[in-house]
Amino acid sequence: MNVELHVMVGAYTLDALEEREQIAFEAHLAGCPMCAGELAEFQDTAARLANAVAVAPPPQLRATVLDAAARTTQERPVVQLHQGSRWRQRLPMLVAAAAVLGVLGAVGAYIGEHDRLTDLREADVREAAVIAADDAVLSEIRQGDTSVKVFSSDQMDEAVVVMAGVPPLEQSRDYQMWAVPAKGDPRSLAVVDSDDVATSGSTLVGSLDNAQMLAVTVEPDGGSPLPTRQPVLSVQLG
Amino acid sequence: MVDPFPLPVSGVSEPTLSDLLVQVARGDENAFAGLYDRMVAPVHGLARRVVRDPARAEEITQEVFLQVWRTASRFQPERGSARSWLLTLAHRRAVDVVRHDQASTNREARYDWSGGRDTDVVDDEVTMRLEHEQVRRCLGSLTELQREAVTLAYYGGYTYGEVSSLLAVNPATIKTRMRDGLIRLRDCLGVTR
Repeated sequence: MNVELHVMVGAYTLDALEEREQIAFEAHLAGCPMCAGELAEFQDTAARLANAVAVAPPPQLRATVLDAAARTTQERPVVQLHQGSRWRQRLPMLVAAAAVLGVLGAVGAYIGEHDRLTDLREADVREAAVIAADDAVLSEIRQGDTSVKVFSSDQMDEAVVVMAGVPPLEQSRDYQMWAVPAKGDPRSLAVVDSDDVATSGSTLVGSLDNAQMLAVTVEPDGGSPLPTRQPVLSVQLG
Repeated sequence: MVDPFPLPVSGVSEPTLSDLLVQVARGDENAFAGLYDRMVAPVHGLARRVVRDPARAEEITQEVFLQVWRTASRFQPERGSARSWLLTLAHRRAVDVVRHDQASTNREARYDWSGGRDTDVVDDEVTMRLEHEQVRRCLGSLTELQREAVTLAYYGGYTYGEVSSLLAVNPATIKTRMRDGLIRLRDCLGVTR
């Protein structure tokens, strides 16, 4: 069990974590039934703290709320698909690792001590460090089920691209990622096989320099020196 | 354990909050009205406690109930109780508001309040306002640091980092006290699943 993350369950219940730690804890929670049990009990406990300060609002609020609800569309239930592609399982660990690294800062010491992290490849640790960097910027695009998230850190001079829901390609094709500057040619960042995207989902791509956009194209096997097609996805970098 | 919210005794058993929430997810406006009637006081009281401004607290109450209406289909009964689900939404919303407001004025001021806003006063106020005898008694059973860590975060909307600055105690200790404070409170209140 990851003790550092587990102890956060109290602060998490009280909404007292910083946003990044909150995300990390939620990722940890997904794989920790014990934490989920403790959290549920803590939330019931916190609910008692709320009950203790209960005060009815002015009565006219009732009609306002009920009228507003009658005019508000409800979210449709989410249908759970059990595809279980592996990147989905790996990502929470990565994010959790990122937060731990960010919070504790002691990368080397931590990896030695906690078995959960020893499974991570070196690249995972670097990816985690980029995501956790103080200056990390997240740019994101979503089209239907497909999403691309780009975490970039000037400090680390690296970026991590996380793709999800990307369709598989035929054998003779690969996805290629490009840093697109305001002026000049796109620069290749990485060539990824669509199977790899399905298994790993995250790719460490080095520096984005001053790229305005990150674009993904479908290229012949092994990639091309310059894009040969229109991008299938592009993300404006913030 | 004494149920703090005994249901009215009648021949027909009332639907549980969880039943109501499931009906709300199907667009049942009557169930929504029922849920409102049963939960509005703790939601509004909590919002008021955290943001302190009555008008803001009403806005938050309205937003939270509309969020419940919109997202009721996300409630998963196996993950926790309907009451907790709703109050978790309410607390998050209130905390977001108070942090946002604070950020747009002067966030730094929050760290320098040790002179202006005495934490003992906050604690006293909290204790005095507690209507629920059992909760008050159980908060009283915590160590001072546990109680301050829990109440400053929950009622004050402070992050553990801010609590750490206010109390001049190491942040890691505050995180630990929040957890062991909740454990003690849970056991004292007899919360079990």
